[in-house]
Amino acid sequence: MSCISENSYLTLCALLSDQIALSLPADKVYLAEARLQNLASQHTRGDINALIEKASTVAEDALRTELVEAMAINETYFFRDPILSESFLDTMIPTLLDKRRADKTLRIWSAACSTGQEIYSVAMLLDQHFPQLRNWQVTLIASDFSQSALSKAKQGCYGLNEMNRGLPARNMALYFEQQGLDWQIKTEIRERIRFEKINLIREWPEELPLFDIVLLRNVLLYFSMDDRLRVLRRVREQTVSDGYLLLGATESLEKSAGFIPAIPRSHRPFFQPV
Amino acid sequence: MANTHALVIDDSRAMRLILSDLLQQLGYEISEAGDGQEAMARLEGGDTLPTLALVDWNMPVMNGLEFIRAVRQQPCYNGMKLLVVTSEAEVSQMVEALTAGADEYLMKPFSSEALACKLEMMGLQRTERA
Repeated sequence: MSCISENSYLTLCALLSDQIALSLPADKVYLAEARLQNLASQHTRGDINALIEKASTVAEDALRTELVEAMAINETYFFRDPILSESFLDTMIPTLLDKRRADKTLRIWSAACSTGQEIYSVAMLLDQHFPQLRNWQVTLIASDFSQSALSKAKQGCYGLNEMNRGLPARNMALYFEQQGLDWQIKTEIRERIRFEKINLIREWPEELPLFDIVLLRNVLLYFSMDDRLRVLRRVREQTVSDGYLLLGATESLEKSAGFIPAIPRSHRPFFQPV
Repeated sequence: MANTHALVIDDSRAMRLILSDLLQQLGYEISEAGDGQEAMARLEGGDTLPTLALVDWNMPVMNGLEFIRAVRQQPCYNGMKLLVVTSEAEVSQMVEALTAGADEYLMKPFSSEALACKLEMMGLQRTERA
């Protein structure tokens, strides 16, 4: 069992902050040990300190990527917390259906999509509740910094435990096909989504459109205040002036971020540009 | 306090124990039955209607699907939510259970978190609410 030295842990924290803006608290050494053990076994004979040192050298791009992905938090599940469905069904889509009725376009971005459950939840919601959108040009973009998370998201294939978490049985029956012990979301839904590799703290693709709805849920809470505000300002520039930003259920926003609550005096994590 | 009584219906005593334990941790009072017929007898003899019944699929005497159909034929049981908890994972069976009147479907094996998630979806347990 390898223990992480203080120096190595500081190097790891600096690396994660630089690569994905993940602000790792000082008391998470045990977490780093648990998450890096396998990688250390593969690359440095189980020595996590050596792994961190190797990954932090300039020439070790691939290993650095593997290390960062191993440390990333990919927690997600279908229809995570009721605000997702409620905000789409009660407010955002009904309002945008009215406002965009002339050009019939709708653009939605899941900006930290992890393994895809969030954007597939949105695609299922739109398909089930807003059949009129079938005649619209609906753009669904899902992005993440992690190539391994994106690969799984693109495949849309989930195991029993993932299927049991948050997915209504009706949706399971309607939108998924069994593939052995796994379940795969049907091609017709999968094809509606464009998956892209985007690291929120690096350059964003120039062709990224302006969005009517941005989902940035349960990601900013891992960022430092500076990175958080920097990303939020860029999200603000990428959101149309009457668009929406949806955060995680327990997240809130600073006033300087450029967004105000979509429903005045509400504490729901659901905002519009100032 | 709202009624948080759950009826756990499964022919496996071990599974009844596991489900009862998980539900007790979520604040439920539990009653148990080993098959659908015994569960019907408990409903008919009970003073209050359980908030929720967890229903296994394969059971002797009266299976889960027959129990769901019997319950949904009686309007006095309308207030009780039905969660099928089964190792049967065919889409056709899921559709059959939902058509018969089940509210949700949880496939075995499952985690305690998955059970809590299903209850939340059924409006019985709230987590992460803003």
